Amino acid sequence: MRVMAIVVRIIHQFFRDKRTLALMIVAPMFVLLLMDFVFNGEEYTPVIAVSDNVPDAVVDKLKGSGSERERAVGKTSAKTTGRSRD
Amino acid sequence: MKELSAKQARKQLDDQEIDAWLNMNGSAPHITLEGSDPTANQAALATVQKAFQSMVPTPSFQLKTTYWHGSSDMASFDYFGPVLIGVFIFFFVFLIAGVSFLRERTNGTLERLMATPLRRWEIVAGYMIGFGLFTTVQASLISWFAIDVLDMMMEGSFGYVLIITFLLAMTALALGMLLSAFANSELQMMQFIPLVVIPQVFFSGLFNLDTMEEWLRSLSVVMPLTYGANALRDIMVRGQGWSTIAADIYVLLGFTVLFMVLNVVALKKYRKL
Repeated sequence: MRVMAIVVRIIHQFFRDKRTLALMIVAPMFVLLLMDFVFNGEEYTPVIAVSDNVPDAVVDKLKGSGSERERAVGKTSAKTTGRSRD
Repeated sequence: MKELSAKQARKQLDDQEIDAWLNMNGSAPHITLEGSDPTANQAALATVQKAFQSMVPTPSFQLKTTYWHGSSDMASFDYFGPVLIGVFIFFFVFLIAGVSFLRERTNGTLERLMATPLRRWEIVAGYMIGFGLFTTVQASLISWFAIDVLDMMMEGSFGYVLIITFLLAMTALALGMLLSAFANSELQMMQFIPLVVIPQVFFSGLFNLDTMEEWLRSLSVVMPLTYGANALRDIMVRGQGWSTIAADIYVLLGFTVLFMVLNVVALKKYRKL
C-alpha cells in the first residue's frame, strides 16, 4: 500500500537521526524530573516570632499545630520562636 | 452556598459542581470535601472553621472531615501532575511534528511526493502513522516515567492514561502538521508555540479558571489540551473510568480528524497542476 511506503520512509528517517530520537525521549523526562523537584518539597512551615508578653499556653499551642519552631531568648526583652533568620 | 440532600450532594461532588458538603451528624458537624484540588480543600475548610468560630457562644466541636477523592496528604503536585503530563506531551509532539513536516516542504521532498500519483490524504495519513509510532512511544514513556518513577498520584488504570496520552499526541501531531503549512521556516514554527501551545497551558486547568469571566473561560472549549488534561485528572486523581472520560475521548478524536482534513485542504496550496 502506498501509505505504508511513506510510513517506512519516515521510520528510516527517524532512525538515521539518532540525536533527535534521543532528545525526544530525554528532554520531556528531564523537564518532568525538574518539575518533581520543584513541587514535591516538604510542606511549607511558617516561621512565627512571638513577643515576651505572649502566654506560654499560646506558644505551646502554636508549636503543637505542626510547624517548625524553637524558642530563642534574646538579650532584649523580646523573645522569638522559629528558626533564626540572620 | 446551596442546600442539598445527601443524594444531590454526592452527585454534585462527582460533577465537581460543589467543593464541599457540610451536614450535621447529631450535633457534630461533618464536612465532605471534593478533595482533588488541595487549594480548594484548604479554602473550604478555612471558610467553615471561620464561620463556626465567629458564632457566639463558640460551640465546642470537632469538625469531622471526609475526602470524596484524594486525601489530606495530597500534595499540590498530585493535582498539577496529570495536567503537566498532558502539557508536555502536547508541547513536544507539536514541536516535532511541525518542524519535521515543514522540513519536508523546505527540502523539496513534499513537492516530489506531490508529483507522484499519491493522493493528498494518503500523504497526511502516512505521516500521521509514521510520526504517530514515535510520538506514541514518547507519550507512553512520559506517562510511565511520571507515574512509576516520579510516583505521581494514580487512582485509575494505566491503560486509560495511555489511551488519553495517545489521543493527545495524535491531536498535537495533526495540529503541528497543519500549522506547518502556514510557516515558512523552522523559526516561524517555533514562533507558533506562544500562539498555540502557551494559551492552552493557561486554560488547560493548571490554574483555577473559576474566578475568571464566563466568556473568557469558554475560550478553553476550543482547546484540545483542556479535554486531555481533564480526562487525565479524572483518571489519575479521581480514579474514574470509561464513562467519565468517553466524552473527552470523542472530542480529542474529533479534533484530530478535523485537523487532518484541514491539512489535506491546506496541501492543495502546494499541488502543482
